[in-house]
Amino acid sequence: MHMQSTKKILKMRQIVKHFPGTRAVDRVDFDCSSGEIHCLVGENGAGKSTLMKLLAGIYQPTSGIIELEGVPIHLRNYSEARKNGIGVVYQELSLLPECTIAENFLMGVWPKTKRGLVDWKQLNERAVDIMKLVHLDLDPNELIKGLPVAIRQMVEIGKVLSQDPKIIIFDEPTASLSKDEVELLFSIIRRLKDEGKAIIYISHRMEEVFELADRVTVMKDGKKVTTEPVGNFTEDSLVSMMVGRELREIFPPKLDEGIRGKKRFYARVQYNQSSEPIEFSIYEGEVLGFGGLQGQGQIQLLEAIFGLHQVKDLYVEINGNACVIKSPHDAIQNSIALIPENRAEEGVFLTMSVAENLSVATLGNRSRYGIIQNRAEQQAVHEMVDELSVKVATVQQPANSLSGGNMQKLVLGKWLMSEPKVVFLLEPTKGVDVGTKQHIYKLIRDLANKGVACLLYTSDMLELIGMSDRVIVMNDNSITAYLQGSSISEESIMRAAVSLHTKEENDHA
Amino acid sequence: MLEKQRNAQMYLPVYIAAILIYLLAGILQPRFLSWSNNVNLLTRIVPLLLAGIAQTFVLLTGGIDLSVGAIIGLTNVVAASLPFSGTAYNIILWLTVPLLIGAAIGFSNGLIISRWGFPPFIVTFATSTIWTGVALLIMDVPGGDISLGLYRTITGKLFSIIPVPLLLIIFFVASSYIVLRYTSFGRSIYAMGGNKQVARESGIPVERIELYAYTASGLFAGLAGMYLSAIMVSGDPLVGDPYVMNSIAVAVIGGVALSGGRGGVQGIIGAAYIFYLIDNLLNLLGVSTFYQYVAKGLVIILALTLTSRDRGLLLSQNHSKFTERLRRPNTKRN
Amino acid sequence: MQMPKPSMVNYFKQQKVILLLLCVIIGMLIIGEVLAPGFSSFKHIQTILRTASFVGLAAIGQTLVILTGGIDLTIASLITMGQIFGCLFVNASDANLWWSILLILLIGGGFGLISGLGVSYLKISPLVMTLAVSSLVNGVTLISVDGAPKGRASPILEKLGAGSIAGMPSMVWIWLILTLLVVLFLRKTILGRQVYHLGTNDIAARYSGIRTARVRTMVYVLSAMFSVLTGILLAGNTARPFLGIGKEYTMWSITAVVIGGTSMAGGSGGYLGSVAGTIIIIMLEGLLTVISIPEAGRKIANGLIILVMIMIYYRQNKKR
Repeated sequence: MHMQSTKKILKMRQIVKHFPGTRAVDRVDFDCSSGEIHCLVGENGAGKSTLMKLLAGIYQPTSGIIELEGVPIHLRNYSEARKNGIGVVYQELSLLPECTIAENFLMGVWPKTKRGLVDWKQLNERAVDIMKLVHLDLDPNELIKGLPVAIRQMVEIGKVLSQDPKIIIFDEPTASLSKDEVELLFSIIRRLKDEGKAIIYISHRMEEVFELADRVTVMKDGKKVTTEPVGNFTEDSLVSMMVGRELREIFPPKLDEGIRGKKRFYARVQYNQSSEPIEFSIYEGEVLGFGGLQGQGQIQLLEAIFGLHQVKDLYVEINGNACVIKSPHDAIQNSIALIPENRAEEGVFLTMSVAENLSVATLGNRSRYGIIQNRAEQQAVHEMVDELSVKVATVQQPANSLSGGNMQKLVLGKWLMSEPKVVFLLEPTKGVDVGTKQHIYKLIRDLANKGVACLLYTSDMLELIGMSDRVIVMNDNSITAYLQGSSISEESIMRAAVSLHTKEENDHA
Repeated sequence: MLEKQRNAQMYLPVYIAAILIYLLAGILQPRFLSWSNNVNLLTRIVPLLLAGIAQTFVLLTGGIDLSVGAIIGLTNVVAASLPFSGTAYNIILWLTVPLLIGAAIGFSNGLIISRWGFPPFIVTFATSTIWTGVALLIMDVPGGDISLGLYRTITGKLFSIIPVPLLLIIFFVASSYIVLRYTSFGRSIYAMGGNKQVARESGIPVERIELYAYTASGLFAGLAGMYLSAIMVSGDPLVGDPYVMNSIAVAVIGGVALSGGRGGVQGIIGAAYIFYLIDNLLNLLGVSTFYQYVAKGLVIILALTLTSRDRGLLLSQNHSKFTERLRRPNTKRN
Repeated sequence: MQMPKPSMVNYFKQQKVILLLLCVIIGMLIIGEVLAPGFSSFKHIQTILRTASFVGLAAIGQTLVILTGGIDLTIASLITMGQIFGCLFVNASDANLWWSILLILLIGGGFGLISGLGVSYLKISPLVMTLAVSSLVNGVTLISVDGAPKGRASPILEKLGAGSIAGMPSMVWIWLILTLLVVLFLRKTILGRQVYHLGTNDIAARYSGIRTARVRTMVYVLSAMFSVLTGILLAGNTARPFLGIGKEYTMWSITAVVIGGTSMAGGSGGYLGSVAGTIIIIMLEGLLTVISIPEAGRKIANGLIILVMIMIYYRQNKKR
């Protein structure tokens, strides 16, 4: 494979990006040439999306230099990045559903007639041309909202291409595409490469990486592991590079392998007519881990069981008793607790007090005839605050004055107060400091020991391995592996997460 | 779905309903179909139409203008208080001053809202009382003076056949349609109403568009005030009061989504007709006018129920969570 | 119509707001006394409070609804209905009074239920839903009396609406008691607490097991019931029914709530603020009347004070 021009159009040098509490990108060098397809891989939190957001002007680097064609640039926002010839293809995010394809393509820069009015005829003609770039043959008057997701993706790509960028970033573009559409996308990408564009392609799907890439950069924990031509890797070696680090945290001791207690929890979910039912169980004393890369359906599954989504069929058994769940209220009545992924939006009432936040799910326990018993509430709240070591001056202070870790404790505390039988923890240590993490791990293990069915979903590999007695890995809305005991490892999880063929099937639900 | 199809879905029902009601009225009372009654209807519809157009500009951006009534009242009394009564100067002033005032007030609303980001509801709520107060200062009881020539012109007929109100309706609806469909300003309104952030990232000057939208609203409200002054041959500071809520109702029935980004003036004539036809029809049926209120309420609820798939409401958090799901790569919607 | 996010933007301690409003009230009392001696006399304050009580009662429902992030435009029409039906059913006889009140509360609650159901289950915007229902209410009221309101209040009702008990206007007592009840409701009951959760973060509320649709519907029912109650008491005040008596109340109730510091986005604020806001509005009216400013000027002043208060409250929200 001969690279026509090895002109390095992009050089990112010693890029560092700090967020409060973490180093998302840690002194990374990255470059890309015209006519090259450069794949960026790594697990969750590796920093690849952040790195690309820096390139797209959405974030600004804490330090480091970005050079375009040898010239250092400072991008303050995405518009500037676009003007500099950088284009990013996310999913349909940047399309307006109530406008036509043509309007979306030329949003803000609609062609005008001599009299200064919008020239719809020209707009539609240009739209047809743009659609040719992505092999679309639709009426430019089609509204976005009537288009299936895959087509919207193509429109999105067309929109980016119409601005004639020199560097195009694709961030997990094949999520909603069928095999045929993926092939179409690839042919477009290859054509762009031939035209001399620099392509950066982020994906966790190994087949894609190996099919498209000229070079591959592996990132891990914010650092660059290596950048090499794709021929230097095999699937296995690539996966190995993505994982493999020392255990820095200490996890509470797990259940003895081989012991299988009573079935505490069983669920079977079928989203709709055409999808396969998903089922799993949780046994006494165990922490069941849910793994896989982000956005593979783990959260939707758990939320569906919690009653947040309408699904075709939901069957739940707790301690052998079937439950009917149609809403979160029902779930809570059945002693299920869900600690949500985004505490700020879904779990915490930021402007309300610590006490109110802790109380909200169990108000009935401390009230008589609908009136909240102040003393009982204060007592319960203080007990929980002590038990969780939440750092507050007073329980009346607003929740948004707490650190991330303490806020997470609020969410946990809220649910602990309800003495649940089943707990779903979604990314419980996201944005939480190390000390609090330890505390949370101990809490989870204690719960499990007490007989509560604990389900832990986390994209933090180490956490998943350290805490789980069993692991279920999901990819693309289905379960790809059940792992137990010694077969739980970073490699086995990652392989299942990217759906490599050899799966370990130690145990069934 | 093609844009044409969506538009047909959105606007046809209004006109079908309007025509049905019209025919029903005609069957019940043949006098209804008389020329003079129709001209009468046309004349009465104009101010509601103008108020509805004003509101549409603002609603499309995702905002709201509660000061429409106040602006109508103020421009109305100003129009009736102009000097040089009986001369051509008066007419020139009548044509310009109320318009400028309406636009200026709209501009001030837009400035506060776009520059400081205060919620449009409260801002226009507050300014509406302020400007009503000013209107009352100018004229505390209905009065004032309008040249009869204006009255005759507005209620007259061009070439002795075409009623002037009809021309006005066609002109204003057509011109606002052209602005909304064929100008950068108009398309930008739809863009920002659809998704402010996306519009901003596309380089659209969102704050400025918002400013101009409110200005346009004030302008059309001013037109309504002027028209009313000519029709009533006098000024009334409180004449605009019913128009605030009616303008919203008419816009919504005419297909404009409260959340912004969807709808237009295409349905407004039908909506305004429905509004007045209900009154007329009930009158003809000999039904007490009180049932109007019930009917209007039901019509609005009906229109809303049919379009309530639109998630536009004050509970915007649900909406943002939904779109947040779309932001995460690899997330399939269930 | 888009609203600013409730969380970071509008947070301020309710105590600070009440303090600020109290200062404004005291300031107005002082200015009033200076401009027109006797303004701050006990008797005059009583008069102010009695006038304010009706608006204050109307503001109860509005406060509750706005706390959930909605708005209630049916208040004016329901007050009118309460007053007209009050006179109609009571018909000058005390014997009819209690069942009349019950019946009217039920009717009002029914309309509130319609509003609530539309908003909570059909997801219709509160603005347009309550607008439509208010039209319905007006129609029903007019149809019921065929355009000619009749009847009158009974002696007990008049004593409540216009009379005095133990030296203070009965309405002031009623307002006091209701204020106590409403504040206790919001601060001490489960439902009241849930209203705040709902308005603060509708999604988190659902995730925490609160039945958001039910709570929201209930709030609209309560608001409607307080509105018709206000109307009934107004009947006691005016003795005879008048069409359109409730007309300004929607506007006043919103003004009172906004000045009182309750955020239009929901989740923060409370009824005490609305009480203070009501008093400020009425006092302002009184002040301006005393210095002979015509109605026009009073309207302008009202509008300006709202703008000033938003600027103070929303100062943090520079960027949308």
